[in-house]
Amino acid sequence: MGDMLYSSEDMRRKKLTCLVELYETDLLRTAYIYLQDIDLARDAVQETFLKAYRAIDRFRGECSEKTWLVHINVNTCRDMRRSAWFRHVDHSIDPDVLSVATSPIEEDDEDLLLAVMELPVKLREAILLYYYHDMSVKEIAALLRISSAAVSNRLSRAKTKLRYILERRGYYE
Amino acid sequence: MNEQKLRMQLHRAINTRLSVLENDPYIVQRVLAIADSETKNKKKVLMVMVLSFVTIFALSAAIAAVIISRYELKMYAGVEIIDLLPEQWQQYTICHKTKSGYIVGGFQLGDDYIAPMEADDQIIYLDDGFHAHWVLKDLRLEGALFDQIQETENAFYFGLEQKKQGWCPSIMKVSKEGEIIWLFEGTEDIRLKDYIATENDEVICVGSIISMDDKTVSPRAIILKIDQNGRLVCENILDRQNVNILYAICNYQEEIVVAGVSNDWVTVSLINEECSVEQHKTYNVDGTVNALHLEQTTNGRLVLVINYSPTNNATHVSETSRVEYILMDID
Repeated sequence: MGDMLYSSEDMRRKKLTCLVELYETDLLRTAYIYLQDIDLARDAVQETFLKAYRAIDRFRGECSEKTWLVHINVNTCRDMRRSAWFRHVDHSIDPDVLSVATSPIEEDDEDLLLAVMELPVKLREAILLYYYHDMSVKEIAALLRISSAAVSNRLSRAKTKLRYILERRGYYE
Repeated sequence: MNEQKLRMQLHRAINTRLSVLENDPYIVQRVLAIADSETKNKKKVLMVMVLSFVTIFALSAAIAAVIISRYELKMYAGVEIIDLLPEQWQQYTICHKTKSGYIVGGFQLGDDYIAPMEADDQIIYLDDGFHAHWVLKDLRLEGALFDQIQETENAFYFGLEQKKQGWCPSIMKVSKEGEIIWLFEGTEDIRLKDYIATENDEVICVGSIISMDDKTVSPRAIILKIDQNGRLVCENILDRQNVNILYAICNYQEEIVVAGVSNDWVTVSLINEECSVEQHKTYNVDGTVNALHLEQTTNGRLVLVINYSPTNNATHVSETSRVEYILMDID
């Protein structure tokens, strides 16, 4: 995990650069799925790294760097969702807004992604944190400040809803 | 949905489809620029704070008190109603609409939702806007399953099951301010089905008692009376009437009426203060009784609701359940 206690400004900046190189892509994708808006997702990622930079000296390695950043990223996305402006903007899913993927994508995979983005946000974040970021139930519970049982409940409900959405789209296995 | 497959597929879907999202090549510079400008501003603010130290300290204490209290309220605000509706499928969370809000027993409290969870031990009183008035959490309720709430003028009564070595039925009286007044714990061989609180703050429960040693022995109907202090003062097993299970109890025109099942018959009885049967009527039901309910109608009649599964005489198999209503008069 590495020693993250830096006294010099240069070392902090170097660490920031390193974190950006390693994790910007994942955080951007997470933020996009969360906020369903490219510009907001970029703002959220910038805000995430700004918060991380401010808190670099206080990070004691209680979890992995990625988990720490995802924690900040999810909380930032949640804060943005709560803003009055966000509530008044149409956030319906339109995958065509994204240009064609750089690699071919299986139709099933695309259906799954759209189904995940159709989930209510609480269920969507549980699926994202558990299946995409490979966080444990306990870690997710700590991040979202709910109980482990509540996390399991959300995951279970999310999978049920996913199954329903996918069946509606004519896909199910 | 296979867990491993879902994980792999989601990774693939996100990484492929969202590969078009390009990273910002200038993000580091922007973050550092913002952080640097914040640092300069911080130095100016620090000077002002030093000059105004006493005033800021006093204000901070006052603000902190407000923030803390608002934070606690904020935790319960905006509760998702979908998780509160009584028709949710997990039966051990119960929700009762009071005059000015809701009381919920057995649930998991999240940041902004209340969800039914198996064997949880909290009771919460919410106003009509779903803001918490109080939360009751007690070690004695740990792992309890809630199945009934009744409300009187000055208290709530909860029917629940507590997990000891086996499951023990219990009745609990809680004040309107959220404090346990008493908790009566039954024994493992008793199954309570229904109860009422009387005008003098006693509780009469009905159900059945089973044999723990011999499961082939039929259950026998039982009536319990609990006094204002939560003590058992009367217990009656209805051996003579040969009633197996009492399902329902009701206060009707100052009489206590109970309804139960005796083999294929539905029995309706009046009981006295010693929990003994005074009058007794029976009705034949062509099938297996699933549940009974006693209720006073709006025009003052007593109705017995029977949910039963009729038996197909040709195949001798129970069919889909039906409901019948019997209006009764008490002589």
